Order: sequence, then structure tokens, then C-alpha cells
Amino acid sequence: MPRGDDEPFTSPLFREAMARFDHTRRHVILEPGPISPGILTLLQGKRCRLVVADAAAALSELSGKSSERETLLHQMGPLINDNDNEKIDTVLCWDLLNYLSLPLIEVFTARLAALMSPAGMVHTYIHSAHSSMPHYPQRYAVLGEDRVACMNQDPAGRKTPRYSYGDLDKHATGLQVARSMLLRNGIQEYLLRVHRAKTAQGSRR
Amino acid sequence: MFDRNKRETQDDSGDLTPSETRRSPESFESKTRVREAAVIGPSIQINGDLSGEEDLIIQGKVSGTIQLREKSLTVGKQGQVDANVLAHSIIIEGKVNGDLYGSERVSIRNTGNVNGNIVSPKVSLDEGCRFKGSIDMDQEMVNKAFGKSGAPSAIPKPDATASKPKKDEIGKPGKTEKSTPTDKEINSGSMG
Repeated sequence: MPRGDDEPFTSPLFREAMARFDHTRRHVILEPGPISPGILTLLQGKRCRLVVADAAAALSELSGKSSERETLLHQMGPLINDNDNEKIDTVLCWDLLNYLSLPLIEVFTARLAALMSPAGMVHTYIHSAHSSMPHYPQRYAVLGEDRVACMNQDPAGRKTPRYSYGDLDKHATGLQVARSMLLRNGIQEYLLRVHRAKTAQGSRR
Repeated sequence: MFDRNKRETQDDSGDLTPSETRRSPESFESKTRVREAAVIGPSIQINGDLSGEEDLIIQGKVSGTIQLREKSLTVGKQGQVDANVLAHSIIIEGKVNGDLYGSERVSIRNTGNVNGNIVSPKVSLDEGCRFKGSIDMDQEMVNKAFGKSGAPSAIPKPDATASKPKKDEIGKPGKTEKSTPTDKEINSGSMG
């Protein structure tokens, strides 16, 4: 990605996702990738548990291995897992979906939906401005309630699939796009909510 | 088996070798006090339950459980711990496979590699560290882990802990782990 993509940007839907937190009940947040710098500071004072799967690179590598749903499901299980049996309220899925094939997105989102509470939300960024992207998902640093910066360090090395709203809505099994915004830096920001009917469709495949 | 290291309180963080000194977190409050900490050297390997009433620095290998009532544990850069740890404060510079319960705080330094869950009101992770597991800063969960009196409760060994991530769940280290070269603290949180 060209220079300038690591500039901090305003992320309204991230703010919206975090605004759902309150002190009346406990919240569980999942980061499928590595822990985002600054996220603990933001969660300070909140009754919450942060689950860090640190599986972004492993998930990315799954894309090229198989397109068989059962195989992917089998491989996905241990990567995205929470043994504490608490339903996940919020998933911060940043710069990851572009690195997954469409069949893998179906399995990945189905896995998320299965682990999430009925009112759970997934917040995600998908780069769509550039034709190429780094080989592996990049990290984002949380600077404030609605301020985020991409810690872009790796040069572009692979083609960006540029998944569209329609791609995501169609292939996000168990999830439905609730809101979407195109940010000035070319990042498409999404909030997805759990959609039980789509979960059922996914499970019948 | 244990060395005694006199620790000058003005010696802050940094590389730790068996011959070097290091201060405990408590000594942050006093610049004149000299404290002692037990040190498990790099050539020492312990299998079993470990408990004590003094600060401890681990540079060797420990597996089992570790309970330090009201004291601090530091896992040095050469330290390898395969144990659930319960202590007042915990600093990780080496490798840990197990859950960490800190009644005061848990800090993972940039060289730290933790595969397990953290329960503590204050948690900080330095840029560059590796972490896979969960972080629970909910004061209710901290109180539950330490009991009503604040005294550490019995903790299971790592292999009996259902919540601990299994080794085959570890994501492959990838370029997403690459970070800025600075040793700044990237994450810190507290329930206040």
C-alpha cells in the first residue's frame, strides 16, 4: 500500500461498536488476529474479557490449501476457539477478510456466528482502494474511541480481492451486514450482526 | 538451588542475567530500600508445585504451579515456565505456557511470549511481545480468582486447566507479529 495509509483515521462504526459496552454487564471481545496496540487502554474500566486468537497468519494460509467446507471447518476449529464458553459480544476483525478466500470467509463467519451472542456484532475493515496489498494482514493500533491507525510495515506483495458489500453480504454465513461506510482512505468499514437464518442456511450446506 | 540476589532499588528494567541485579515492583515506591529475591538460575529445572513468601525471579525451567502470596514473580528472558501462576504482580520477559493470575498487575515485556489466560485488574503488554489467550480485567473475576480475603486460592496445574489454549491452537507466527522496533508499552489497562 502506498505511503499515507498508516495515518490515523476516524472510524465511526468502531466507535459505534464500542459504545455498546456498559457497566451493567460483562462483555467478551474477540480479536482473531494479534492483539491490537492500545485496545487494553480503551477497555480500561469496562467489565470485559478480551480473547486474542492470534490466528491471522494461520487463517490467511488456509485460503490456499482447500476449498472443501468440511476440511476448512476442521482446520478452523482450533484457530478460532474460546474454551471459557462465554458468548462473544464483539469481534474486531481488522484487515483479515481480504486475506481469506470466499469459501473460507463462509466458514470463518459461520464459526464466529456460532461463538457469538445473538446480539453480537463484528466490526471489520476491508481495504478496497488499492489493487495490491501486503502478503499478510497488517495490524491496527487503537488511538481512541473512534481513532485507529494502520501499522503498515510490509510492502504490497499480493493482489487485493477488493471484496464488495455484495460479496460480504452473500458469503458472510451467519452474519448480515448491518452498516457500512467507505472511509476517506479507501477502507470500507462494516458492522455485521448475527443473523440466525443465515446460520441455518450455512449449516445445511 | 536458589540464589540470593541483593537488588538495588534504583535498578529498573533491562536485560537480566544471573549475575545482574534487579529490583522488585514493590521497590518502585522506595529508592533506598534494598530487597532480596530468590533466583532460579538458567541451569535449574523444577517440576512440581512452587510456593513462597518472597519475590522470585525465574531464569530456568519450571513446570507445575507457582503461588507467591503477596509477592512478585519475574520470568526472565531465559526463563521457561509451564505452570499456572498466582502472585501479587507478575512480569514476563521469557516464555510462559499457563494462566497468570495477578492480584495487582501482570506485565508482558517485549521479549515475553505467553500462551495462556491473564486475570488481573491491571494488564500491560509491550510492543513486540507474543500473546495468545484471553485477558480478563473484570474486578469480579479477579476477586473470584483470589478469594474474598484476597489471598491466592488453589490453582490447577496447566494440564488440568480447561481454559488454557492447547498447543495446537497456536497460530503460526507470521508477519502480523512484526512490530515497530521501539520498546514502548502498547497496551495497558486497569479497572482502576
